Amino acid sequence: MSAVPPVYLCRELVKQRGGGEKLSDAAAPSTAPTDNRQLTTFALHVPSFTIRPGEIVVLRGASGSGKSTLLDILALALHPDRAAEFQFCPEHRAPTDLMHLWQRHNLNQLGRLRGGDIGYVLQTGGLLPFLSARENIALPGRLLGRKPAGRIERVAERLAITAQLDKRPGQLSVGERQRVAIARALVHRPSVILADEPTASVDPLNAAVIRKLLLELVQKAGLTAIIAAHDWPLELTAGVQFVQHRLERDDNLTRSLFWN
Amino acid sequence: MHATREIFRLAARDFLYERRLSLCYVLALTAVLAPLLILFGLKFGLVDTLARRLVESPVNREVIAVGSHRYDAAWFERIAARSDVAFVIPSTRRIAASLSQLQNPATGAVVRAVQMVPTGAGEPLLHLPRSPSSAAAKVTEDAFAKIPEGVTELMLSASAAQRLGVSSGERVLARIDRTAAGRDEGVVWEVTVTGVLRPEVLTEEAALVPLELLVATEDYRDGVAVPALGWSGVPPSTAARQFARFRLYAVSINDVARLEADLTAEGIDVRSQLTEIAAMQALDRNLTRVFWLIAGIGTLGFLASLAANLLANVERKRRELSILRLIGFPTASLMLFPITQAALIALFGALAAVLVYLPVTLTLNDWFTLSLQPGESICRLLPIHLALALGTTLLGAMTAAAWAGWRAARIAPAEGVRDV
Repeated sequence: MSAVPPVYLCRELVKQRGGGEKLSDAAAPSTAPTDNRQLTTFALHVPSFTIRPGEIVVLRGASGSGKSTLLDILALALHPDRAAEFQFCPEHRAPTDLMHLWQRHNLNQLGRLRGGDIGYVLQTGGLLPFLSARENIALPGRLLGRKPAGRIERVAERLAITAQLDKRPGQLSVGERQRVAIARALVHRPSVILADEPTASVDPLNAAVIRKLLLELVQKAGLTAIIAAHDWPLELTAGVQFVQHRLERDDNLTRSLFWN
Repeated sequence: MHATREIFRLAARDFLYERRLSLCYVLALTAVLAPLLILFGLKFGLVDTLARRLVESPVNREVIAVGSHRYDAAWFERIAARSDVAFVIPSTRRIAASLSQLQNPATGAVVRAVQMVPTGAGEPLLHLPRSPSSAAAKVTEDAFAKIPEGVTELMLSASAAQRLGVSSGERVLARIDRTAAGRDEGVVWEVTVTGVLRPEVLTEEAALVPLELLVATEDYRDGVAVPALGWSGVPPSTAARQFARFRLYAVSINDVARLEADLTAEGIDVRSQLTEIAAMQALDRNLTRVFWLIAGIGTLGFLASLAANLLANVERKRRELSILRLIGFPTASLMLFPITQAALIALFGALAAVLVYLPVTLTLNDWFTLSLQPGESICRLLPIHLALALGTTLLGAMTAAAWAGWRAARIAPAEGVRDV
């Protein structure tokens, strides 16, 4: 057993969407709605989930399976309904009880953790349209008061977007925007990279290049990464772990389970 | 600290990036604020000018004796001591209170039957209503005018001076006539014009003269000698002099009614502008109400428009705010994003409204220039009013934006990002 604490530690984490009934118990099947209306409920259920420093984990699953929901929860951007344990411990820091922060609605502390230790690549890039690519990339670092000192150019060169640095997102292709989003997630040196379908919006050729670059950069920096991708090629498994996933349907309840 | 500085920069960059939309918001604000400024300008210009004229105009404050009585020095002292009396001076019999003729010796121009109005220190006609910003406003045509003294000085009305072709400092020949022992007689003496009144101060051909001169002309007509001018006649009586009339002005129009009542109680028939004052006061009150009603509705519309625009802007910025939150910006600094943009919209909107207001107010004042006295305006806002308008706009805009920003900042960042 490693002495280094896990970056993420989740037990019995539940996030429910839609419908009117909450799960009475995460492990137990839900009861049917009490009235005649057909309420469909989706419940993300994570019985057990542990991510250790330096691990690269892929969440595979069909669209609507709850990958993005889980990633948002791990990004401290979405409030889980409940969890027996939900802990975040970036490198060189003490573990933080995230459930406690959410219950106290301590959005600023959650924001500080997110801004300092997490780099998030959104499916749509999530770039600010009024800033150039360079300014978008520099923004998380500026928020932390850090000067990038050439790091933007180095990462941009690796991602082949040097020529696009002074362009606005509206002047970039979808693939270029995704590369800028990856650069933005990396440049301020977070402990964890989260990527939500980073290649879903680009053509297969570009998708393969972006996947390869993302993995290279993450591995080279020794970062922890969790990547949600419905189309992650099964042959690309070197240094990558896959999270177990199963969908259960019970009357009007769809339960999506992720665990490792 | 980094977050606050960054959010100001980002809000300004976004404001510039979406310059067309920003311009629309600024113009929308200008469209409601500019008419409101003009409306308030009219309130502080037109309505206040009318009200001040009404309150301060000596015409409205004058209490005029009807017919002749006999008023002694004690009566004048008692009246002058009243706190509601601004000015009182004796006057002679109406028939004696005129000059038979004034003549310009240089040109020969003549004005006949010039009414003499007694004057002295505190002359109300020389203190016409003026605005606080026009200390230099004067009621005479020249800067050297002074209240006449003695028996050889007078101040002319504009019409009399114009017909004579004289101005302040020039000399004219005055003449009065009498019939003594069946013979027509007259005396001519030289008087100095100490000033010329503005046309609206005294419309008829008249002269403000010292009481001493008025008494001298009355004495001459009564056959009494006037040694000061070398006019012969019977020796002056040693008895205390009594006057037939007076000029009396109340301190304000609110004092006129009491003064009139007290004089009537003494058996003195007087008349004043009481009815006209009441009518004008009612008109002023109603006009003020109309202005405040329109201004109130306009202000409500302005605030509603401002809030609607800014709320719409924040809703539109929901995705950007969610991204900023995702990157790690704290709640308080996120609220500064819409607040900064609201402040920019309010600032530029208010400046644009002032730029619309200024030429309009200049034009309005130009159109009405002939109806205005120096220092008066039809449309006028003081710098404090403009500062208040800017402050109110900024405060309203920032409050609306803060409320909307607080709502936007409270949502989980994932929800805002997924919404789009």
